[in-house]
This record gives sequence, C-alpha cells and structure tokens, in this order.
Amino acid sequence: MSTRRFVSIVLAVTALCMSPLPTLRANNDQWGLTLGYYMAIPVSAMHDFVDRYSWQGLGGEVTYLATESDHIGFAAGWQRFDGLYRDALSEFAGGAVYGTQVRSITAIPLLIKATHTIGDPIQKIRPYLSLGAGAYVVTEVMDVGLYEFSSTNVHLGFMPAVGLNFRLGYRNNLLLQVDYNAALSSGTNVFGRTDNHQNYIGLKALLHFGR
Amino acid sequence: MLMKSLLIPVVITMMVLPSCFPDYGLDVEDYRAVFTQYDTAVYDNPAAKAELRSFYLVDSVFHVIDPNSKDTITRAYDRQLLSFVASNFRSLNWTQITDTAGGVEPSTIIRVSVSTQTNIGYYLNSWNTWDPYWGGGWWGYPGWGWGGWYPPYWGGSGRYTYATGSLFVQQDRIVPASNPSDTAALHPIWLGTSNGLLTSDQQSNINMLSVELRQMFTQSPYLALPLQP
Repeated sequence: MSTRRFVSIVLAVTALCMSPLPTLRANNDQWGLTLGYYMAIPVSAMHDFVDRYSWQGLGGEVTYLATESDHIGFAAGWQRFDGLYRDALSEFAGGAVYGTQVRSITAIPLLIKATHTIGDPIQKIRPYLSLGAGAYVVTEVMDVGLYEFSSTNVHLGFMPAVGLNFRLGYRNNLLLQVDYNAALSSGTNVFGRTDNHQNYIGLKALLHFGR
Repeated sequence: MLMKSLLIPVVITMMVLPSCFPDYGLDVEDYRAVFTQYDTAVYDNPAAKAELRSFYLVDSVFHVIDPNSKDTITRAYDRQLLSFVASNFRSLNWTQITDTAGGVEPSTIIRVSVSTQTNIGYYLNSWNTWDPYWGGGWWGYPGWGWGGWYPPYWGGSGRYTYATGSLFVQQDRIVPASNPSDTAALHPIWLGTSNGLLTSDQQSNINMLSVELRQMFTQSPYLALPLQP
C-alpha cells in the first residue's frame, strides 16, 4: 500500500470518526478526538539520512477519559522529512552510488497512548505527560538520477511526551506538545545500514474535542 | 463555537498537507548518476586481489541496442572513451596487455558499452484550458429532439519525449579452464555505470560522460593495486 493511500485512509477514518461526534458528546462524555499539526526535527541516524526540519506532519488520536486526569487512546500520525543533496555519494556493501539525491523519510506512528494531566481540571493551563507505544511504519526513499530506491519497514517504537493543556471550554482544549519518537531498528539493511532505527523530536499543536 | 469553526479548516488542511511536495527545480545534470559495484570476494580479499595485475581492453565500444532498431549512437568519441578508461586503470598500477598473441595472458578483460533509450510520456492538462463542447448547436436532453448534450471537453493534453543514455564499463576476471581444450571463463568483478538524460548537444553529453567516468574511478579506490617491485 502506498503512503499516500494509507494517509488517505487514515484521514477518511478520522472524518468518519468525527461525523458522529455530536452524538458521542450527547451520549458519552468519556470519548474525545484530537487533531493536530506536527513538525519534527530528525536526530541520530535519521539526521544522517535527511538533516532537514520537517514541516509536513499531521495526525489525530481517539481518546477515552479514564479518570479526570487520565486519558488513554489510539494515536495515528504522518510525518515527512525530505531534502535535496547534490554531489552526494552513498556507499553500501559492494558498491556506491553518486549523483543528485532527493531523499525522503515518511513515518507513520500507530500508537496506544496514555496521558496524565497534572493539576485541577478547572485550571486554565495544565501540564501533562504521556507515553505512547506501538508501531512506526517508515518508508525511506532515495531518488538518484533517474532511479528510485525505496524501503518500507515496520518498527516497534515508543513516544514519551510532555505538553501544556490550555482549556478553551468545558469540552475543548488546545495542546502544545514536545515528544521524542523512537522507532527501533527493524533489522533490515536499508541503503547499507544494518541498524535502521529512526529517531525524531516532534513539535505538535493539537485541538482536543472532548473532556 | 470557536472550536466548531476551526474544525472544517483543520480537516481541509489535513487533507491538503500530504499532497504538498517541494519542487527542487532539478535540471539535466541532476538526473545523472554513477553506480559502481564490485565483487567483495575479490577486491576485499588481499590474496585474491594479489592475483590481479593486468587487463586487456576490448578495442571497440559495444552498442547495446534493440536488434530491430537502427544503431544511431555515434562512434565519434569511442577512441576518447577507451583511452580514458585505459589511462585510469594504468594510473591505478594496472598493466595493460595490448597483444595477447605474444603469449602474455592478462588477468582481467575490460569492456565498454553504451546504450540509449527514447522514452515517451503523456500528460493530461485539465487546468490550463477549458473548452466546453456543447455539441449539436443545441442544449438539452437526448430524446427531446433538441440535438443532445455532450459532456464538456476540458482540453489540453500532450506528449513528451526524453532520451536517456547509459555507459557501462565492466571488468571480468579471466578464469583459466581446467582443461586446456576448453575456453576460459569470465567472472565479473567490477561494473561502473553512468546513466542520465541526454541533451541534443553531443559535446555536452560527452563532457558529462567524461566527468562521470572520472567519478567511477574516484568512488572505486579498491581498484588501486600496490606498486609492483
């Protein structure tokens, strides 16, 4: 399945989730939906492949309010890093490739998340901590000359996060979050690297609809 | 209320954002690439590499073309290409054998090949022109005697062609036959390939090829042999 098709499916599912939102609100106060815009900074081995800031990211989360301060939920996202590298030489076992390279990494996290918000629920601003764990579907693409090399792998990963929750109303919140995304190595040799772990720092602005 | 008014723009942004990709403004030089591959069992093995001392360069450039097509690749630069390949190997301490009739057997044989390909693509351009065709001079439903309605033709489509060229330099190790009556086998141990878009300027194409040939050897430092005593 191509990345674009997967993202389209995620968006369609999100839209479907949103359509019964008014009904959910009326019938079940515990459920919520979070949508957000993501930016990211590649670090570690990811930075060695693409060292550019990512401004292309989005995602959402379906949450369930377990207690007044704790949410659990399922989070999905999409983050794209890309960059142009002229006169780039990439070496691998038994050879090398040289030329203008357009490199990209697309990461799709699929995580189970737990969030704990600190402070009294009536406070306007509250810090929160969260931890997500699950899978990262990562596609690395290298375009060299007229050729494209691509590798898609599923990584186990986790995402600790800290943020601030700004209460905009009884059922609406603005969240500003910093997180660390660690996708562990899938064990596949990608472009000459046997350890293909991917790490990036996420900067997110999210709107939460729900308690 | 504010959140409800933000909802639709947020959703629209989420649906548009994945389709935004940067345009890097690449030109012809950006579509050229140089690939090299080598047999690690030979070049990463000092004992195996020590058996390689010399090469024989096939004295013509092979044109890889469709048997049913006419060969339109020029031979004006064959000597230049072969001379460049030979001089690069010699500079890496390889000995060139030019006359195998003298009983001196080279340890490797090098062949240079080229190929070209014309690629054709089509595009539909439905945004730049809008030319509705209503058909029949009348507008209306078929069967009502008004001449029918035809779906509008938005117009704008095109065909484009581009040519690509590839240069191959292959080095094979000559493996002598165990039986003197059999022929020796050739085992590929190094391949250099350059590939990219061709322009209508032949000299420009050759200049790029020269740069790429140099790059093949630059990114293959393992080809260098120790100086012979």
